[in-house]
Amino acid sequence: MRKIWIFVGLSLMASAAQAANQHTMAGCGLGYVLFGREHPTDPVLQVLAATTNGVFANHLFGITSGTLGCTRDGLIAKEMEAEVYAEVNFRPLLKEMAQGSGEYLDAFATLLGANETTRPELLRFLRENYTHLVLREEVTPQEVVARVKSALAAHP
Amino acid sequence: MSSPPWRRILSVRITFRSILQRAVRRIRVPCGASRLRRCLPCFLAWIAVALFSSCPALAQHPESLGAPQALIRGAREARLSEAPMWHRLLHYRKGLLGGFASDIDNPEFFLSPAGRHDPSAEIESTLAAFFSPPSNNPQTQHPQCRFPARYAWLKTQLDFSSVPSRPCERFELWRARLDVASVTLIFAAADLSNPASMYGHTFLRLNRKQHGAGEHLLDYTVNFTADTDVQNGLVFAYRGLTGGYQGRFSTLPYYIKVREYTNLQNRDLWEYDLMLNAEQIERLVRHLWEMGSASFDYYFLSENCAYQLLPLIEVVEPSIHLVEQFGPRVVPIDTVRVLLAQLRLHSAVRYRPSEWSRLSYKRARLAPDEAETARRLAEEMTQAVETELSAYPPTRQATILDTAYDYFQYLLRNTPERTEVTQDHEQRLLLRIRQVSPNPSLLHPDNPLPPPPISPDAGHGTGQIGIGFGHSTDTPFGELSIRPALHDLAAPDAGYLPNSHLAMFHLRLRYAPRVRKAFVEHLGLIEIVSLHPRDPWTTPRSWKMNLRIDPAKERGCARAWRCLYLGMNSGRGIAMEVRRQTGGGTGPFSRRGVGYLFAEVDIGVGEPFRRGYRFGGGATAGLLVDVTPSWHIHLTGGTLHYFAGDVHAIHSVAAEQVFSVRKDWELRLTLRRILSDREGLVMLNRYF
Repeated sequence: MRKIWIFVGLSLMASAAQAANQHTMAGCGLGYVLFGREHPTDPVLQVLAATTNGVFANHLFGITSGTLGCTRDGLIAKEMEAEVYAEVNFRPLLKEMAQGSGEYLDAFATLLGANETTRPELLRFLRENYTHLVLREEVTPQEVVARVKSALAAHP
Repeated sequence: MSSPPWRRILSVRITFRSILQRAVRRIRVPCGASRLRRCLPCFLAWIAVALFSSCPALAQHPESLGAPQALIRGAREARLSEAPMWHRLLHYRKGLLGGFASDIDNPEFFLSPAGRHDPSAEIESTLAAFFSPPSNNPQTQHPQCRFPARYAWLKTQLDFSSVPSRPCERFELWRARLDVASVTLIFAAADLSNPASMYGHTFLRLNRKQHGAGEHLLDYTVNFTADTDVQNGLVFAYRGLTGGYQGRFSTLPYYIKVREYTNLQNRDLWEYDLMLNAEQIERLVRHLWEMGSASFDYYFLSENCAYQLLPLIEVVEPSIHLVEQFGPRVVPIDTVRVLLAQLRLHSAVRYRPSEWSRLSYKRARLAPDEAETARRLAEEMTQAVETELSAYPPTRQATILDTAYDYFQYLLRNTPERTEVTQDHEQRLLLRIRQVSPNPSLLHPDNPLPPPPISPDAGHGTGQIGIGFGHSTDTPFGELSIRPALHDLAAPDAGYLPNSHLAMFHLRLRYAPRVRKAFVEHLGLIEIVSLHPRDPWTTPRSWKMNLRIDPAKERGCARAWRCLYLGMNSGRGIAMEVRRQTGGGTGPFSRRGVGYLFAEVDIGVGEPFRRGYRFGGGATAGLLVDVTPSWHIHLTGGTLHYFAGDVHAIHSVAAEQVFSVRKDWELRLTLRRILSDREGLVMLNRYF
């Protein structure tokens, strides 16, 4: 870290995110919340995200805000829940899909329509078809969710 | 990385300013005159209403006209506008000069133009609005639907048989999707690098009725946050600290909050289940919907995220009193304590460790050679590493790969330039994970969650006041110390960020009877020390900064106003665990043993210095040891060389010992030597 000292008289400023965190966010332009890779470390965004205790995509989640991209009155539209979830939790999800168990995977299974009884079968299906579903040229959350959904549609 | 000690310092100035502005704002609470002016139209309307309602001929009119008046009359007779519940629903607060003002700033929240300051005008407009015909536009909500909590409460107070009930499709849909069964209060641990979250953050989680494993991630949370639009950091910070932003409630899925806090900011989360019954939850949910149209001035230090949850929760039960327990200082963990005292816990507090905690715990559980393999796998996926991995039995491979993938993610987040080469690397890692997990039961041979430390609500109080006496080289003295916030290195760190020091407005006054003089010994405007002991995989930086007003004793000037100067200090350094915590941090108490070393820059500005200032640098070394659970030692030694302005050097050593007596009392013994000046001090401190 560079040490910057500026005399107090000079003027003001508040904080910045110290740790090299990537506070990244974007709107639901295409119906997806895009976290992560597309938005590299932008210090201003970091400050914005950090200093308000999480402005993190906040504008989308206003309670009576009506329909905004992927949200309805602040809740994510049902048909896009799996996509948004996969965007936010992509890496833990990829790992747990390979392992066949885990908290993130369980929640994902719920979004795909599984219940307590059908979940184990769904998890097994995702693991067995892992190479086809995940290990491909295009490994973006949208692609993976789309492949999972179409594979599930083909497999009753 | 460019960063921020100076920014932090300057934020303190803004803090002062925000306090000032806050005071001014408070004074601006509408007095009688402005109320009258604002209320003239509604006063006229009121006269009209009064005339109509008292006219017997009109009372015979069709229900659509007479019924609202009857209801309004009923409300007036029952003096509902004075009911505490009505004030809570509208977030009214009594002004300094009498009268009311709602914390909510935007007119959409009120049905009467005078509603922000006039509870009775608002109740009458609300009742009248409940009779209004439905709008032709399906997106426009009927007042009954916009304000379901007001509607529900007024319905219990008055005879609503004449009110035509309107369907509320949007609200019902929203409520059905939230499907709230219980409510959890969540505390996100402090993040010292960020002034807005130095004291932690609180939010609510609405737990859905249909729970399966892992579904807490899918529950929605209730957050109070500032709406921001500006991209300029300066403007942003200034406005954020002075109430220039509007705060609003929003509902984000818990998985987004978990990612934000535990993953991106490496903060622990603590989950407290609140004891609320179905009826109370129903009130909370209805009121939350009303909050959709409400906005508030946002202040980091007082009317912040933690504060605004209190009035929200107060609507659930008339008998709980939360807001009135707080003055101008709202520390988030104090709101947790007050809430817990009034709404008992449903079950034990749950701990969701940050990614750092998880990762270092996983690493610590691997054998040294396994950890080395995991590190190499995460850094580069070569043939040699893959062969090395294959030598382990499959269950160990699964554990090593699991840890390696987490470390890989950590590296990816912290070194953005790696992204180019990663896709292939990641796919090979995932493929190996897939291969060694032929069946899920093999995967997690042990549960790799670190054991929870002591929860934040169990820590010492956030403020501290102390009294004591001492002897310096030339004279004895008495000392009085006040520190509104929060924690220091030598204090017992149960419930606090370990190895951290955060103090604001720490004032120490002394009186020397021999010379009959009272004087300022120290005013610490802001002091932060953040020590992160090194870990083989993660190398978080240790840093410190302070902004203070001190007498220049080392320049032979003490005990007088003219001796005071403004000092600033900032340093970067390293910290190491010199002793492993007993049981790897398990158990109710883990004994610290942390050594640290800082390189620092120091500036002083003031009359006592030749040419009015001094500028220099130096180093400080320190050692923190917990001898027993209630005996803590902090040793420091430092040297500073000022080479500009008033040229001189200072060498100092200090030994501080804290004996804690119960949770909120301590005896503190300090011996210090600065150049040839010696001093001993005994303080009795009380946390509150």
